[in-house]
Amino acid sequence: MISEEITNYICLHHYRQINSVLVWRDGEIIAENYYNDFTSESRNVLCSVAKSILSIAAGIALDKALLPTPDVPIANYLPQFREGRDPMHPFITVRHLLTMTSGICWNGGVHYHCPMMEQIRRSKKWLSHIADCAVTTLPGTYYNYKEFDVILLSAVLETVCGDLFDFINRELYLPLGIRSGRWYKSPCGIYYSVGDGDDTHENSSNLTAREMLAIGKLCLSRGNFNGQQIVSESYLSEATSASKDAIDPNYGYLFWSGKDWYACRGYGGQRIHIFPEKNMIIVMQATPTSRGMVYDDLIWKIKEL
Amino acid sequence: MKNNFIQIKNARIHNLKGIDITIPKHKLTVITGVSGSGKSSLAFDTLYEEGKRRYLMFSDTQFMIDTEPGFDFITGLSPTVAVEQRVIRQSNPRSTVGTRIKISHLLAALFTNYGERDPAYDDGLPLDLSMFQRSSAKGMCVKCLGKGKANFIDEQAMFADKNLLICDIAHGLGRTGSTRNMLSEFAAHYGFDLWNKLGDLSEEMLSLLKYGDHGKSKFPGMIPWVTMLINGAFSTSGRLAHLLMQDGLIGQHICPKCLGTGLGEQATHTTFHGKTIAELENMYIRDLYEFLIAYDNDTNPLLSELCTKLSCMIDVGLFHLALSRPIPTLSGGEIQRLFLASYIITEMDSIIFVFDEPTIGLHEAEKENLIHIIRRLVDSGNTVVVVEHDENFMREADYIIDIGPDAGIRGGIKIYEGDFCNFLQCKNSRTSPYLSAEKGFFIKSNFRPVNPKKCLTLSHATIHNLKDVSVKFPLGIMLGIAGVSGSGKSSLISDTLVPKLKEILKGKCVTGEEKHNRETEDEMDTDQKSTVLSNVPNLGGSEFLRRCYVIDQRPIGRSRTSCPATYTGIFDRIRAMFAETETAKERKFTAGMFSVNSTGGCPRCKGDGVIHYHVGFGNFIDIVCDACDGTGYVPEVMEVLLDGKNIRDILKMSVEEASVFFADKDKNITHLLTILERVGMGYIRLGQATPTISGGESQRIKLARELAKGKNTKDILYILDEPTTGLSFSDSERLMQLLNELIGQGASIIITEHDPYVLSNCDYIIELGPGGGTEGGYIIAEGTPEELRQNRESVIGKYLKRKGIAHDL
Repeated sequence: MISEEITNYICLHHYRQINSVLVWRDGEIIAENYYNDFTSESRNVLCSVAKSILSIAAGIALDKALLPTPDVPIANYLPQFREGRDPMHPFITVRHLLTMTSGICWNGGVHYHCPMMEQIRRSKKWLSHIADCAVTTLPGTYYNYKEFDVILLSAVLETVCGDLFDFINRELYLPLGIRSGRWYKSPCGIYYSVGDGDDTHENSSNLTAREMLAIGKLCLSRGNFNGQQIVSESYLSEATSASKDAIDPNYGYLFWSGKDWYACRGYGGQRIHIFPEKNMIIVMQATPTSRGMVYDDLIWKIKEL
Repeated sequence: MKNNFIQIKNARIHNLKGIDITIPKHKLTVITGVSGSGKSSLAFDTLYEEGKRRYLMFSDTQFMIDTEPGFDFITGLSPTVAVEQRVIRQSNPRSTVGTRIKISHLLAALFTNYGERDPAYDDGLPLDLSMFQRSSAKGMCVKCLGKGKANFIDEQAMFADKNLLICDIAHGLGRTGSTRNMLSEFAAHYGFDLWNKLGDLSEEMLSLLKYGDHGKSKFPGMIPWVTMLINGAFSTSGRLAHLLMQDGLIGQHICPKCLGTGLGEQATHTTFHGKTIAELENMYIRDLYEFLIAYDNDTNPLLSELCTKLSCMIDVGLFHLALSRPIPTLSGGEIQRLFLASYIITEMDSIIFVFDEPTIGLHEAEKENLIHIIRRLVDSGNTVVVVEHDENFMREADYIIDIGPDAGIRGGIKIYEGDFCNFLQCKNSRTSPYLSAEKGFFIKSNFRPVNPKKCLTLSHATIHNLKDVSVKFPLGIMLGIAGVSGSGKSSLISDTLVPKLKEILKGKCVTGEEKHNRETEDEMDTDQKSTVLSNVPNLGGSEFLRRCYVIDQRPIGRSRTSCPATYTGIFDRIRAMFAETETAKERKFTAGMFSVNSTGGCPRCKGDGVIHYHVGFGNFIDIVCDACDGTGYVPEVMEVLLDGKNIRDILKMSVEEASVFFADKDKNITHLLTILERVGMGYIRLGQATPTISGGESQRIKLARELAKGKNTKDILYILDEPTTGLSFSDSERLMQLLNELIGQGASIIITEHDPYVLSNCDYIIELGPGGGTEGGYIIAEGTPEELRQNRESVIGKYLKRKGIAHDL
């Protein structure tokens, strides 16, 4: 039995923080394991899986022509980037935000503890703070995984979609049957699911394992969910494959990608891994710890089962 | 009884000839001798290395590999600490006085806990220590990334010349590399050519070229592109910035976000009694101490700790520095005293301290204070061993050890061991005759007259603490610049006169900076330039000069494998000679085979000869590379011999030995070696690694290299900074003799100097003062040494010597 093998593997490796593993193949769930008193109703933190959700929201906004093209300059929407604070600002586009190539300075710190987030969280105006940050590489030329680009994307979408959480809820979550609490919104009005470091903020965006699976199924079926085209196929296929110019061969539009897979991945073991050729989706949720466990060995193991 | 001495038996490392030494504990011992005699081998390579090794082994933090000891036994050791100038010179270019001595940390803690916050920026959350540290990503200003300043492009100047070809904008940027590719694509798309003149373009095209087409093409426009190249944090082109700076196409401005503090919002809006942390860091240490002590009422432990540390800094004569001062801009003496201060602060006893010429860079008046401080270390139960050439220091010593008699193979013998009085009677020493009235340092009696018409005239110098100084530098003579530390000597010479000369003489003013392309170096150069431009002092008289050489104490190279032989260029010739040998020809070895940086280098240790192992706590241990047996070369290279010596043997030769070896082989090499000997560097090994070469030695090697280039020194100005640093009396005398010969041939020399013997041999002295920092910046006296002796305003005057009266102390 596949679920027993998964449990054995988890025990063998002492992966005590894994809360749920869900395997879907050819239309049905073939394993649904919960640990640490988790159930199918339990909600677990998303971490950066929310980035991919934001990407889908951007796709919907493009489909609805709320955004004309991914190559539109963000300065069109964010006045702080029209003030000549940096000569590079006019060149930063929505596509750069989606591919983590805005060129804005970012120091991820050791073990990705994001020291630069400390300052922005304490500043009253997040957009103004990012607009003040040095642009250290030409936009579109250098991949650097960072929170700033996601925050800017959230701000851009807010200007064209209306309240961004309402938009995500209406256009994505409700059709998929996902019931999420409202995302954290900063005092300066930016939706940022990770919040300001307070767990209660971040937990409001938590999802169940089955809700994560619904997102996986949407991606696998190229945007079609139960007959309804929620986001265009063309956007999803661009978003889930290595970005144009192959700036980072493992990154699309806030989606990770590999040889025969693509994925939404969040810190500490949050995973929605999709293997299109196998018609397979693996969902995993875990309690993040400061060690930043990845458990990817388990994913590759399940894939071969 | 035994415990009162450190005994070293049969010390034989380097050139030491199996000597036995006894050093009294809890006393001040001075080791003297001519340069290269083996003083450092004894003090550092034997005493310090073994003391450190035993202590670390005992503390169980290390694994130890037994290397062959350079002695039979040492008894009476306790934990040993060395303060070498040469090692600490190699520190992180971003570290400052404050960060190095950890005072910035304390100051940050003070602000975190006791800072008063601007209500407009008080978010109710507690402050964090790292918010006050610009090296931390949590604390640095996000716009300038902690630098406090940014380069900006002078757009008008860059596009001013209508006859400029498009590919020649910004120093020919468009002629090569990715700029050319992007730009030609861009030009083709908009129908112009890289060889069009700027004047040929329409207004619209010009605007496209300057600012790009907003992402339609890959080329972002000249202004954003150049900004990117010079300001980028990850891909900075220091060289381009330097060239554009020289062309006046870019300038610097203070970061508009942090207003130059380099810190984030919270830090810039938190004050301690009305001052921000950046303001405190920019104060002179003495002023900072006085500011803080006023609030120290024993209720604030952080403040008391800060005041204690600052007062130590003042005691060791560093009152004139600011905490924000970058370490690389300090002189060797200042660095050493900075470390001395940190040891005094820790208040330990029973430690063995080994110092390397702590008096370097100190004014006579300050030396007395330093001797007093070192005496205090001894009185509190420590053992202090000092390698020193300074006369007063020897007079203060409890115990003297003289190593000699000469340098290299003719040294390494213990000449004297005992107290100072008996030392004066010692006949074999090269040092004692200068101390006793017997010989005395040569003081000249014929002073060259000043020609009032042949002067450099500098007016209205105001940089740093200079108080609108206008001064005439007479040419054709040996001119001394004196003054206590921080009185403005460097501000006047390195920061005003030299940049001014550079501006006027351009390529004819050689400062050695061109060699350093590293970002930090460039930053420092641009600092100097921008400050000078904003002050606009005037300089007249440069028409009397053909060339100017500024010979400073910066290291002679940055590579691990650079050495005197590579720097002076003789190594190229030596390698060529090796490649010409029969064996080399047979085996088809080229000159590259004889360089560790090229095909000949040992692949395992990369030419170092040793492998560094990190053994924890920031300590490294060097193990001889087993692949090459420590030669740094692949074994087959060792088989090629030139007159019986392989390349490694030659690199191990001292300059003196090499000049005998090459005497009948190569004129150019011999010529250079002779000059090296004349500047007092006869003892240095050809292959000595740059990091172990002191500032004074670097300067003399540079001087030798310049002198070897040509014979005609007429109308050339040499600017030197304490050239006799680290030289014994006899070597100093030789160097002074050489400098005097240069002047005889028509050269001019400006020397910044503290040494009373050197100053007494100057034809004319300009003295700055009266104090350091805010209390300095005036010219307090000028004239011949004799005139200064008579001048009541002069501080140095009473220390100057007269011919035949060597000792009036």
